[in-house]
Formats: sequence, structure tokens, C-alpha cells
Amino acid sequence: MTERTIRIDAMTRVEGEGGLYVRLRDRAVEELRLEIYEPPRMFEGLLRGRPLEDAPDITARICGICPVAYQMSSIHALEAALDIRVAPEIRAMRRLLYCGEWIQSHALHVFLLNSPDFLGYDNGLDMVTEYPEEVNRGLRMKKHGNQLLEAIGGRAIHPINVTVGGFFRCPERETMQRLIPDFEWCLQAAIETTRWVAGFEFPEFSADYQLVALSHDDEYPMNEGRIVTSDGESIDVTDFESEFEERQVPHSTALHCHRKKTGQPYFLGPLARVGLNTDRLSPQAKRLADDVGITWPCFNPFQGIVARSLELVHAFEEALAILRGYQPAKPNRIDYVRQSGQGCAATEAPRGLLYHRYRIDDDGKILQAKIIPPTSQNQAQIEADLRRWVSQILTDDDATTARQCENLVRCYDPCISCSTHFLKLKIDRT
Amino acid sequence: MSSTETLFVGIGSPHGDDVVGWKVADQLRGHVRARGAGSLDVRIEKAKSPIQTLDWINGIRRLVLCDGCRGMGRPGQTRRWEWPMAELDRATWSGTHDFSLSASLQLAERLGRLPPLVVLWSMEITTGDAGDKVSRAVAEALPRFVQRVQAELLNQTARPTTRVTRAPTSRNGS
Repeated sequence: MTERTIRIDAMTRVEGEGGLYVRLRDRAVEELRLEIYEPPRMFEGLLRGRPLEDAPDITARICGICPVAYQMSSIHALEAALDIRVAPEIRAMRRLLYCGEWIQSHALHVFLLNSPDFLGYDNGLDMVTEYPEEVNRGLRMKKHGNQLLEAIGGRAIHPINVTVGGFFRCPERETMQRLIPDFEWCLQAAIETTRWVAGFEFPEFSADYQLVALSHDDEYPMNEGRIVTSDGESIDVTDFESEFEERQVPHSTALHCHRKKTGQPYFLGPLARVGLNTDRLSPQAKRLADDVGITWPCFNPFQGIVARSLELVHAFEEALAILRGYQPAKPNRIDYVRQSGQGCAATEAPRGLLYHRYRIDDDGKILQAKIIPPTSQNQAQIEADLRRWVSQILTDDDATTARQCENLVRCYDPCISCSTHFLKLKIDRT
Repeated sequence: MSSTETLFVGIGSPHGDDVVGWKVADQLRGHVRARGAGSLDVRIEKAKSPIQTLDWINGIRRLVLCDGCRGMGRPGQTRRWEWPMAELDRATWSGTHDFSLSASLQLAERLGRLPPLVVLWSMEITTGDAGDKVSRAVAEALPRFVQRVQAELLNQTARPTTRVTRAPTSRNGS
């Protein structure tokens, strides 16, 4: 009997810091821990006692990559608590803001974080010499995603223009129209990107995942909808906490999530979203999804890069449609009366479903806040995947095993900083 | 060198000492306004993130950057660096949510878009959070800093003192 330990102390090309510990007895995985050791950030406690209007700007600070998802989830939840309904023009601007965030986050991940794994490079910089056209394409898409965020949100990182009830100001039509030519170029670039990544060689690795995503009758899910699963469930967002539960595990400062009734992990993100909402993709994204040789829903996490690229196509196409018809919303926000209440909301962050719930008092002060990020929800599924994956790819070379474990984890595009409440890999072989 | 061949980029934010790159850009623009375009033959830009530099570098012969940094000296202390800069990653540069200064320059180099001469002027800063003011040390050091950067830009015959070498590409599994 031989024991072997493989450890990745700090995983690369993920947002935030975490590690992986694997102990093997002979060739069987005896223990595997996805170790998230970033300190807890206490955002839920930080919000308590503060005016509800502070929530969007504070929650945006949870993440520099997906601040829009955090601030918009808080806004939707608080609007539910205050029974606020916004005008269609405001709603369209919010979807545009989501498009901007998906574009900049997905472009970064597809080109510089995930593609190197399929092309055999250690990092995005190393692939630049042989793939300059692709990298330039990714950088340009990311840039224009950021420009959209700046135009609507006031700045690309941690936008400052969103508020409960609407926006502090609406950009002029001319400002938005100027984005159109670049977005037309980006749409074609995203289509080429999807065809490019669909041609990568993907490992044979799939499982009977329960895919979970928002779904909406009339649109591809971003900021609204019911929670649907690949098992045919349709769950109201207000029932999230009775259907999904968080659990503390000793080796992670991020809580793990499971389905309450089965105790099983579940799978969030672009692969789940595309799989459960294929028919609501924008026209060009839908045609491409039918054309890339993948049967949707897809249960191979490595093909998440194709789903993410399809969402780039969708985001550019939807953004173009909104930009072409854009007129500044009047009024730019609606007034409301502070009152006690409770509200929750789920939106689709780039990495998957993000849930917020708030309880507020008569003065509009936050009494309780609950935030459940997508990476936190995916963690248990990532660990379950790694157990199977290590058994499949294990060699005597720990460095190769470690690299392939990182490849799998990166398919989830984890945002560790968001989830703390990620990879050093250590494998113990006995 | 003509104006299209020299690019100055001040990197920063409105917060505290982190504004230093923008302040230098503003003062250089003021110099051009006061003395005429011919007085300083350079394109001047302000960037929130170093990666924005890639938007402007095509066809230039000289890139001069200016940014605040921490961890390299006392507040207000200035340094001049030339690419390649082995020490670059020892300092903490403004901004953490996008491509770092070092990553942006490496990316530009690998893409073959980095000009023959890249100069980075830095000033050690102490404040940089929302609502912060410019520290006294940085405010006092700024006029002399602008003069030195301006002198750099006025030197149209500058050539790299070090040779730019491309880092080797590592491809795993081979």
C-alpha cells in the first residue's frame, strides 16, 4: 500500500486564491479538498444597520470582475422588498449593463485564462506569440465590454451609476450609438471565437450533473426568471433557501452548497445556462449553438468554453439590439417610500446564479443580508468532479496531475474572492 | 521623432496620490497649450488601466509611462525605469482589477507591439483610496517630477540604454 500526496499551493488563472489537496492510497483517491483559504470578508455583516441605498455600492466591492451582478442582485432584492417595478427602459439598460459584464468577464476567461489549457500553454502570455490574432481579438472584445460598462455605469470596475429604482443618470443616445460599429465587429469576432474554441480537443469527461440556471419565458436569463434544473424542476426564486442549502466545511472559508432534498451538489454557469435556455439564445447564437457539434444540454465541463463563447455572441447581439433602439429613460429612476420588508432576487453572474436576500426596517436600514455567490455554489460539484477526474488522469508525475486538475477547475471560471466565506494541490500517496 | 512617434501615458485614478500619473499628463498638456504644440512633440493620454496603453501604441517609436507605485522607497521618491524592467514586479502599482502594468507591457511585447524604447517614470505614493487627498510628500515632489518627465520627452534623440529581449515562450507538455 503506497500513500501519495499531491498539493497545488496556489492555483493560477483563477480569480482569487485557493489550493487543492489530494491524498491517494495506491491509486484510489482517499481524500480530496478544494481549499479556499482567503479570509472571510464579512460583507453580510458589513451591510447590517446601513441604509438600503448603500447596498449596491458595497456589494459591488465583493468582486472586481462581476460587480454588476452583485450590485444588480442587491437592487433587485431590495426592489422586491419595497415592491418597486421599474420601467421597461430601465430594465433594458440593466440588461445592457449585464451584457457589458458578461463580455469583459467571458472574453478574459476564454482567451487568457482557459484557452491556454487546450492549446498546451502555461499561461495566456505564452500563447500570444503563436496566437496574436486571437489574443488581440479577445482584448478588443474585453475593451468594448468595458466601454459599455463605463458608458452606463460611470466606470468599468465597480460601476457607480446604478441605484434602487433605476440609474442616477442615463447616458445620451449619441454616447450609446457610438458603441455600435465596434459592437458589430465584436459580434463577428465572437462568432469566429465560438467556432475556434469548438474545434479544441475536449477530454471525454461528463457526468449526470444537475444543471441549475435561471430561465425566463421571453428572454435569455440575466437578471430575472425562475430557477430551473436539468431534472425538469421550476423553482420560484423566493423558494431558493428551501431548495438549496449552504454547509460549512473545515477546509474552506467558502460555504459549500447542496440540494436540500437530495444532499447532492449542482452545476451553475454558462454550460448550465446555455443547456437550459438554448432556445432563448439570440438568433445568431442559437444558430451557432446548433452548428458547433454539441448536443445541448451538454454535460462535459470542459466544453464550458464553447458555452461561454456562445454567450459572448448572445451578449453582443442583444447589446446591439438595445443600443440601436436606445433612448434615455425618463425618469431615470423612480421614487419610493422606505418601508419595512423582505425581498430576494437571483441574477446570472458570469459564473452562474447569484442569490441575494435582504430584510429592512421601517427606516430603510438593512437588518439582515444573505449573499450566496455562484463559485460557492459550484464548489461541492468541483470537488466531486475532481475525485472522478483524478482517478481518470492520474499518472506517476504529480506535476502533470496537478496541471490537469487545475485545467478542470478553470473550466468553472471560479471566483474565489467572491466565494470566500481557491489552488494549491497536494497529493498524498500511501 | 515626430509627434506620432512618442506617446506619453499617465496612469492613475482620481483617488489620493494615485492621481499622480494624471497630474503629470495634465501639466504636460498645460505646457503644450501655453507654449504651442511644437513645444512638446508628443501625444499625451491618461489611462485608468495600463492595458489601455495598447490602444495607442501602434506605430510609435517611444513610450513614456507615468504611474504611482508602492513598496520601492519613501513617499514622493521618483524613479526612471527602462523596459525590460526586472524590478517591475517588486513594486505594487496602482489598480488591481485589470491587467497589471507588467502584464500589459509583457503582452504588448509578445504581440510585437512594444516600441523600441519604453520608459517608466514612477513616484512612490501613500494614499489611493476613495476620498483620499494627495499627500504632502507627493504634492511637494510633483513639480520637480513633471520637469524631469518633460525633459525626457523633450529629448527627441533618446535611444534604449538596454536591449529589449523577448522572453522565451513556455509551452507545457513539450
